[in-house]
Amino acid sequence: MPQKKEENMPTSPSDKMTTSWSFHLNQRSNTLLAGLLVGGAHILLLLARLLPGKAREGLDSTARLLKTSALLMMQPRSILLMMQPRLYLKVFRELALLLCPLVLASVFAALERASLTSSSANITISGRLIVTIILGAGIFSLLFTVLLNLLVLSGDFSGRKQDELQRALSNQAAAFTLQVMLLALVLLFLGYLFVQGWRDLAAVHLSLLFFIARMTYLLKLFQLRWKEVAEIELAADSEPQIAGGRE
Amino acid sequence: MGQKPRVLNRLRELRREFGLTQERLAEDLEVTRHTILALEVGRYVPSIELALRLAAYFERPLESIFWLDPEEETLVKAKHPPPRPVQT
Repeated sequence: MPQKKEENMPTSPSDKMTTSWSFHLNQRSNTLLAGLLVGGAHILLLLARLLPGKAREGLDSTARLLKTSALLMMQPRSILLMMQPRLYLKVFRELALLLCPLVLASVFAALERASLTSSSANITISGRLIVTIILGAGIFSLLFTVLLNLLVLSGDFSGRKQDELQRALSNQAAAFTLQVMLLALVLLFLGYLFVQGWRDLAAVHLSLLFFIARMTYLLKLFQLRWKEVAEIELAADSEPQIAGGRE
Repeated sequence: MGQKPRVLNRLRELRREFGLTQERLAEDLEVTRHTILALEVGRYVPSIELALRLAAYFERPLESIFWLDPEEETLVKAKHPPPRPVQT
């Protein structure tokens, strides 16, 4: 049984940590990521003006969610939470797993196509394709990093044992991803049956499926978790603290 | 989650009564602070295990912390009359 009226633990980050160079570096990167989120929120708000009724409400609430997430990312405690080296390693590993198959498959497919036809025009097109793929991968990796950072804040990507609420939402996200994957596999199957040219690009399609699966899972998990979390966190009830009780 | 809660609780009052932060309670029960938050605002109904752990933690009977919404209770009783124990 807990003792009544116990002294609360101090929760503010120490001055020494917040003046370190790594803190400032993280603060800058978080500012950049928060800026992206706010930019996304503004785009959604603009789109919401064009839509009627429920669709507008959905976009409005997503925009609000992005803005509150951006505000949370800027708090010193959030930055300290994201500064743990093991999280960097984990994010890096996840990024590699996400992007390597897609980039490799696309580059090999482009090179193969270029080698089959030796004309210089085709080689230029393949070169452009590779640059586009790498640029696209870069943009997605940024989005992926933002999502992972936000999931670190809500305690969903810390590598610790999940609690029952996290497990429940993680299962929901996994079930949703499975549905999306089933649909994608059916489409791919039909494509292979009826479109001869698709079969040569099977490696690209499979790597794309891995990519979509991972992104769908993370986006759904983010939506489920942060729909609840961000609003409550900044509701500023009597005890303003940052997320992730066990981090 | 997101629906009108059918299980109510007095976790927030109890926590304040003991002068505990959400963070401290979460640490002691080995859950995240968000789970405590979600419980307090009635967005999440805990598993029996977590509810019993909370009851044991505060040394209170379970039904004094969690109870069924009276409307829901009336509805259940109206739909299904309480079963009688079998005479042996």
